[in-house]
Amino acid sequence: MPDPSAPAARPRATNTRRTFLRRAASGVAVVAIGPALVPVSRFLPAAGAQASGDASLAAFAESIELVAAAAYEAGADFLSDDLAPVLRTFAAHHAEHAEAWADLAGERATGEPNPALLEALTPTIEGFGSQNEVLRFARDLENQLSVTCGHLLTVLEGGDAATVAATILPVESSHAAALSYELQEGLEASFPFGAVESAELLFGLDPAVFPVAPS
Amino acid sequence: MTLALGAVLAGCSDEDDPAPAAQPAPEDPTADSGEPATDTSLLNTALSLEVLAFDTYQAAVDGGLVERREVLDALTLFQQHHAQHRDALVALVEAAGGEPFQTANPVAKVTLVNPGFSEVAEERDLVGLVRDLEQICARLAVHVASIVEAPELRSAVMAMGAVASRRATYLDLLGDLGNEQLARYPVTNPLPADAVVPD
Repeated sequence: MPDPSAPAARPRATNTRRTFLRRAASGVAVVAIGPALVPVSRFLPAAGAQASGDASLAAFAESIELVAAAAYEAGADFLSDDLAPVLRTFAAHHAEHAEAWADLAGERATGEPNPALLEALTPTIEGFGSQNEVLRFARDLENQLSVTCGHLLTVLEGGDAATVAATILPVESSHAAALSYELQEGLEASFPFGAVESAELLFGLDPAVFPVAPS
Repeated sequence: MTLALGAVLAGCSDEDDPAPAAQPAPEDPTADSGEPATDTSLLNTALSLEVLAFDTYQAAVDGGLVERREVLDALTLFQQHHAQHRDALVALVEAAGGEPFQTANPVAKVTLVNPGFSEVAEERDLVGLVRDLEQICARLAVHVASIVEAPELRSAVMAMGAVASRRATYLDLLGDLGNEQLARYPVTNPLPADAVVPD
């Protein structure tokens, strides 16, 4: 399978503006037109735990993706036959995201779910009692992962790392929108940040709050 | 609702291309003869796609095929999103020292949107058409973000691309279209090579 994160070549500008518009004009003539987020406020950044550098940030991203995959597994028992395969697919996506981040993290990859995030989420996960509780939890987590991925795009330095984030971000946001739709929360709920996705860690997962376990 | 969401994933595959109904044209064999597209060229291409999307939503609303209120609400909101994206991209192009290209991308219009409109016979077809266009918007954002080097540009483009992905998913479910969903977006250019707006 082709690697979706393989660098894209810059396309070539084959026309001048004038020829571009001229072609357009001739072409037109011949065609018929027919949340309740993860409670992080009680957590403070661990001293010296600030992740920095692409490899460290990738290791952090790997660890939170593994939490998402694990959380979906924990909620599987409450899902209908129709929804179970959907959320299993989402979990598989997160596992694939974790692998992509681990490749970037190299020796800093842990292969383990983020321990601080897992600790924060465990009471909620252990308290699952219905399908809708699982869906609401998953929707919130997907929104947070989307924001976090957007934040990483602002701080990752290397092109390869940024490309990995770019290929993953719209999948996280898509998951969140699908879960909101399933919860019948209405149109606006599928777009909690409006027309532009947030990259503010206030709505995401802060690497300083949820440090990766020391390897 | 459950069946609708299930249908989104019914076609999951390992292919790296979501394969929208309106396929981009084959790559222009002469494409290597020009200079590599600049950041302003890429941003202008995204801008021209936003203008095209705005116009397409207007045509969709005006076409008389919308039956359900929830479809009209979605089309109206999504058109507003594209107006915001258009304005944001104009600012980005100007900040990069370029001249904003505020015209609907003519190549994408002719090769992707117009053929789609010609096949629209009912509301569901219309939803599928704009769903495909949203996927192209999201894919173009990923493509651009994988090329430009400034983190603030990558972030700004993907902040819009992520919402395009949300819109595509919402429309997919609204129309019960059953699109496949992938673990990661491809970085390849979803547009015909000659749809890149020159400087």
